[in-house]
Amino acid sequence: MTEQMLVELAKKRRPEALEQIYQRNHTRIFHLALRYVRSPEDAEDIVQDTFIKAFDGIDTFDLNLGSGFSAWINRICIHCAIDHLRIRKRRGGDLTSLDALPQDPPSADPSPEQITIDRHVSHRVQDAVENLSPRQQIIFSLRYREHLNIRQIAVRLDCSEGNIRAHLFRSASKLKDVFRVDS
Amino acid sequence: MNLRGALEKLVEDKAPFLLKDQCRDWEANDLLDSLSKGILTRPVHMLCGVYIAAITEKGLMGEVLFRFKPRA
Repeated sequence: MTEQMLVELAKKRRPEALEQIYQRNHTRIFHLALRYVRSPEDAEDIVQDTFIKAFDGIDTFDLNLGSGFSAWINRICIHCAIDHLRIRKRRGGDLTSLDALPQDPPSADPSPEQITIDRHVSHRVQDAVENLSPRQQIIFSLRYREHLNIRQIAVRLDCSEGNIRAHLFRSASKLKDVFRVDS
Repeated sequence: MNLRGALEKLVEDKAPFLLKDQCRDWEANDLLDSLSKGILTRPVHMLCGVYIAAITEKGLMGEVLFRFKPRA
């Protein structure tokens, strides 16, 4: 069954179509969620929220607009991840997360000293990033971990490029302040 | 599938989940014991790990009755 047919049936709230959508997208959404939170359990929470919100709002999805169903549900997942981070932050619990993101491969045969320095810097950056707002954390990771450009981030988060630039600018200012104080 | 069938399946499979409604978390077994026959015979759609939702008279997905919560 094509995605279009599946979505049309899901819009009619046919259980078998919703189940198919879940089966087809679950693994991808889980791995996407896992980029933003530390534990698989938290990622599963985000997956659950994502599908419940997606099924609840599937009427608003228009196959003729935008970049397809996968991109639409990815955006919901990212928004759920932001909500999850906000709740965590409000509770003052174990903050996320960017250390769960895929790391860039190390350069060829770095020395043990270089590895130690790299780790130290990486931890300092992660600590600093965790002090950004949840939305800024997500935008920062999309830009600098996933290497998306401003436009791609705006599409993924369904907001304007100006908004993304503003968040990145504020993030950079906050990080500069942190490192200025530390140094 | 009705709600009784869904809950019995979770019990039989020893599924590692609690079921969460708006008030609290439930063991599937406790729901089998405490819900009325009328509610237990209600048709549902169970998406294991995500939700148990009511099925409307037209056979379509309705209100989410319970969300799954992984057992600690």
